[in-house]
Amino acid sequence: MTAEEFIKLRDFIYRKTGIYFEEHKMYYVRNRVESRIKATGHENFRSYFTWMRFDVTGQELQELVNLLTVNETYFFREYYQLKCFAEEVLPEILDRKCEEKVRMIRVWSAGCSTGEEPYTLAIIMEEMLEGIERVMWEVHATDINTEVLERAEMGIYSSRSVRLVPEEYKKRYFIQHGELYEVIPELRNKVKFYQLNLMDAVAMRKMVGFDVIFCRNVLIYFDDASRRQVALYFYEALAEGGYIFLGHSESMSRITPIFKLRRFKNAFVYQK
Amino acid sequence: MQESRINELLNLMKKGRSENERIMAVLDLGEATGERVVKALAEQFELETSRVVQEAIVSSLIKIGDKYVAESAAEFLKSDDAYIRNAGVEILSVIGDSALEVLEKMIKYPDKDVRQLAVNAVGESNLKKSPMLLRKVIEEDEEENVVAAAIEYLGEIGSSEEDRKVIMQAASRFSSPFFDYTVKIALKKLAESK
Repeated sequence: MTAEEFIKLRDFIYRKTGIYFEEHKMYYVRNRVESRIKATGHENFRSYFTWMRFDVTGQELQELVNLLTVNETYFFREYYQLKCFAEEVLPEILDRKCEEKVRMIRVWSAGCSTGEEPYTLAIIMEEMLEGIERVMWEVHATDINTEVLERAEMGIYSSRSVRLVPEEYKKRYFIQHGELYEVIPELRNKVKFYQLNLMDAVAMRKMVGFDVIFCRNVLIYFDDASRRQVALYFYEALAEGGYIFLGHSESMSRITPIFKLRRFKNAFVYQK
Repeated sequence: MQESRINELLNLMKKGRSENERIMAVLDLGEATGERVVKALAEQFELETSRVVQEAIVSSLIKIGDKYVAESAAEFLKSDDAYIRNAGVEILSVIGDSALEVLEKMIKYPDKDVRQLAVNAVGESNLKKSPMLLRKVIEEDEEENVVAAAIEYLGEIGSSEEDRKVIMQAASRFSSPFFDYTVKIALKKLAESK
């Protein structure tokens, strides 16, 4: 794949998904594209790209996006943010909803990859809200990549993925099969996984009434204009006073001024 | 997009029942095209009191990204409101070649503050002609700060021998320590980029 071909492909993916690959990612993209060229029996980039562009099912674009967006992650990543969520944000939400008959708390893991983050959030919700009356909760977990979603739904992880899970939680929420750990069905059933493109206006408008959105290390794949667009969709998706957690190196203030920055004891969080 | 739908969205943008409804209308208008839509968005942007709606307008204007958007963004550079001016710079710097003609005009605008913002937009944009426009500013503009901004950007994005020569020649145009320092850093960056 030449530099011009990379730019053609990069712009095509950007238009379809909002994901933007900088020039320095060319090698990363090229390796994955070449494996798709081989797998689909095409002789060169040109014929593969033409075929993909006119594939009305969109299946090949999805396959390629799947290959390009796999992110390795693990349970209880960025512990200080999760501590903030559990000990500072959740109590605020509960207080705010104290007048409601049934306090429903809705959390969204946007860009959930193979499921470590939403299951971590589900464990926290289970632990923090157990025994509190009139409380129900939901964790929604979305990703553009259908392959990682399938893996997430299976809920089976290596010992490396669960290395930061406290022993007590490992016993309570996982079934160990040798080196593998399976999320217990009771927890698995509480997380709703589905595919979602954060740049899809129609799909994003269905996402409403969330109290917290976790979108960590996802917006780094977007360019400035798409980041603002996604931030606006998040704004619409959040309930009044809702919170957004970004990755530790990301800043919403650099994307848009529409959220307030809240300095909690354990972390910085953005609030509607 | 049909005219009736555009009218409905324009109405919702101004008079929607909630902020969310107005945001949605603005984002949908980003799928439309044409002078009327752009002018309406730009007008609302300057009148708007909700920052979120303003952000949605910026997003939609960038999405439309045509010459009418460039013309409206050029007007934003003249605003008294820093947020609006910055939005103008951002829009002009990301809509690509649609902004070229307007930028060529704005780097010669009588007000030096507006020229400086136009230089920022040229420097931030990824246009093929950006180095050429910056060289023009360095050679022709009379204002030290504007020339210094152009030199700073050319140091970042320039690469040719011509870029280096223009900066070298400009070194004697102003004599403040700030200007000398800007020239020195820009030449250093150009040398490193080789």
